[in-house]
Amino acid sequence: MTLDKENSISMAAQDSKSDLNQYVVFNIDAEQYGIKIDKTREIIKETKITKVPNTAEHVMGVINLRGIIVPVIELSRRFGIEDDINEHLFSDAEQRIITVESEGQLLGIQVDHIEGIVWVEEEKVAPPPELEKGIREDYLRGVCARADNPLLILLDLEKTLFA
Amino acid sequence: MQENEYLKIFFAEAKEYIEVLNNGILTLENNPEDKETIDAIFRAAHSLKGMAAAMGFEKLTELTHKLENSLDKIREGKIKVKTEFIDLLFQALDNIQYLVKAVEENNGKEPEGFDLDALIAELNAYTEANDFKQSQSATADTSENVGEFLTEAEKEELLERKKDKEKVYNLKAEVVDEEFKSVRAFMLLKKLDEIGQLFKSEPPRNAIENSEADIDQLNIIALSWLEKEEFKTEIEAQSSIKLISLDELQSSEIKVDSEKESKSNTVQKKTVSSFNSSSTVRVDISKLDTLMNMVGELLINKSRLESLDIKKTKFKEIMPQLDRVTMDLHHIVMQIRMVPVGVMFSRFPRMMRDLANKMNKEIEFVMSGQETELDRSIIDELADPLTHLLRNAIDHGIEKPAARKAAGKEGKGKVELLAYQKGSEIIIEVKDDGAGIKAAAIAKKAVDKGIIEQEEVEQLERRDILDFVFHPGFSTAQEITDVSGRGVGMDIVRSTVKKLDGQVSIDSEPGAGSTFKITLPLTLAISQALMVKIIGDTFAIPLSAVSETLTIETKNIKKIRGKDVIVLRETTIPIVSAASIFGDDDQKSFKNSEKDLSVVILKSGERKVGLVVEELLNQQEIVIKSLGKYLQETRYISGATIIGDGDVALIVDVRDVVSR
Repeated sequence: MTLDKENSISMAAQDSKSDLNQYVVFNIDAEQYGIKIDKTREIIKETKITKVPNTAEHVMGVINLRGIIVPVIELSRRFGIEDDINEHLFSDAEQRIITVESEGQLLGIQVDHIEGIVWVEEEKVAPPPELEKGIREDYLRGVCARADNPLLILLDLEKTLFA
Repeated sequence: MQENEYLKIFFAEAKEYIEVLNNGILTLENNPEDKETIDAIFRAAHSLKGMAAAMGFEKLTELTHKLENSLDKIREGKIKVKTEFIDLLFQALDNIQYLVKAVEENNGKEPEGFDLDALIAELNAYTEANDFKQSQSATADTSENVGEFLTEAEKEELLERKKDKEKVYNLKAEVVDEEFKSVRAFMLLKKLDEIGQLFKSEPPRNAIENSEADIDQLNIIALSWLEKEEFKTEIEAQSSIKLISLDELQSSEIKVDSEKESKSNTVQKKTVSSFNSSSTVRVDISKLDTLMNMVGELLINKSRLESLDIKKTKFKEIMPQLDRVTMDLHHIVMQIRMVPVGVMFSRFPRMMRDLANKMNKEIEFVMSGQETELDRSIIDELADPLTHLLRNAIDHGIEKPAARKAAGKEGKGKVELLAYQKGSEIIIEVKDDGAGIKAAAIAKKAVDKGIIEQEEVEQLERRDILDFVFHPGFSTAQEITDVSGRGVGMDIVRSTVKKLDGQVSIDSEPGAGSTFKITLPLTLAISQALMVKIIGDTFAIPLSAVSETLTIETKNIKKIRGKDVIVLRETTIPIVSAASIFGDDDQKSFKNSEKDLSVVILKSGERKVGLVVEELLNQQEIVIKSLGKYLQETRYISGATIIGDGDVALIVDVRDVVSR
């Protein structure tokens, strides 16, 4: 995992600024998303996912995480992003599951690629634009423009998973 | 760290004392003379005070000290136990409970700005006023004690004359005007005739009417329909009369002495402190859960080992031993997790008392089987549904005293909460002897609400019609009260019980009362299961819900009203393809299958359904795990378990399948 140089700030500066947060950045195809690091628990390589019938389309199934049953959600389906089989930016081997704790429940979200961890100054976060294809606006906390990097889309995890 | 340990002990013990106090004060209300109870609660208050002082909780110390003092007054016989005093004690106890909780949530600090002065003043006022009265009455002509003021014959007459809901007041007043004292007193008697009826006065009525006596003080027993506050306002409106005291007398206080004696002797005395354990160790619940999980892991790994099929003789020696040890370990862990239902039940008497008072109903609340044990995780979940059922019993079940008498019943309704074990199941019943539920009314309402068609409802049996009360959005309450009857609730009771792998049913006899019966498995965490294969995946079916397994030829499948059935020992059992309910619609038809079908006959209550699976695997012990709230509502799936190879197997929700 690389620390994003553009946005990294020395620890000293970080102490003086309270509105600075760390985000885990990952890809769903070409788009980059960020979730607050304190919501995440760990990142695991894909393990066997057991399908659960009669659930919503974006529920991939459940995994056995050291004896705990954890539901896994496919974010791209949750966002309604069309899966174009010929245009995958990342190989399946790069897929990861980020486990997050939301509303007291441990959940896994499957992503295409983990980019790294970045510091984000909250004052640089802009309200979400309306154009994001397919994604419901209330899933988003905002966007953060970065030099030489794609737009970082910050997710509201609770709403994304439960709304 | 050390401090923390002390705090933990403090909270655990404080909660125990609070419970003893709660139960004790309740017992005291029904049994004011019970010396044992008074001593028990006094000791509890005293210990609580000592602990609070040692921990440096000032407010808690102050309040418990006050409570202890009040209880001491009762102990010394200086205060008579009356409803209003019991209410005050409960209020103090509630505040103590609140404070303890606040301290717990506030990392060992008492909350700021929590004002106890009003409550303490009230307690002081009550204890002193009542104390004071006694010393004053020694000098006054009239006697404070009603027992002495009224002769036994008068008491009997008073009880006879007192109608249902009518109240008996003892009032003492002083005539303040210097002139026409007897006229002023006479005016008061006239007023009493308007708002009720005079029973006895000192000086007597004719003496007042004839202006014979020099009247300074009046001691009067009167009957009235008015509530105490209204009654007081009416009396105080009389000019020149100063009210010294006004007490509402409970029937029990007027009771003839001989009866009083026998009553206090027959009432059971074991309600307080029945759950005080001595030879036990306190263990953090999370440690128990961890232990349980580890035993679960051990079991899983044991079955993985078993499936290895190692041929070595040593291995064959070790396996049975390992098997025995893990089974014993499992058994003991299960036992540790068992908790008597009484720990949860103990909150209900107080709740029932408060609710009955609030709704002007008279009830006798009886609990039995508190020692019945259930898995802790089940007990935690049960409190809410039981609270709901008990509230309903008072709100919808028990009628108002007048209505009960009109129906030829005792004015006091009876609500029972029973727990007992039956085979491998625990049964909890909530019973009332109230109005009961008319099946016809339920049927009509179900049709009105569009839950079912009129034609269909006519086909149903009474049991099935009553079952509609558990339907979401169904409520038969005529009016909405803040206690129950908001149209939600019964369906939540059912879904909670269902989540615990239990069942809830209703039986009701119009006019005679209703019984709600909750049936629960002894334990949730580990159980025997039949493993089957459905569309390539392994599923577990709880063995307790499997009546048998069989293999059938497709030609034996018959159709009745468009549904597939098989005939098994002269009963027809509907069959359903597991593949179709678990997602693969193409597999709905059995006819295109060449080979024989494996069928698991599932039972839930009285109903049976045959589930056609791809393959019957084996029978094994499974550790039941929840899918969590994200997938809680998943149809036909009640949970998951981890099988030998580390894979997840889903558990079939038999009740859901059978009732589909």
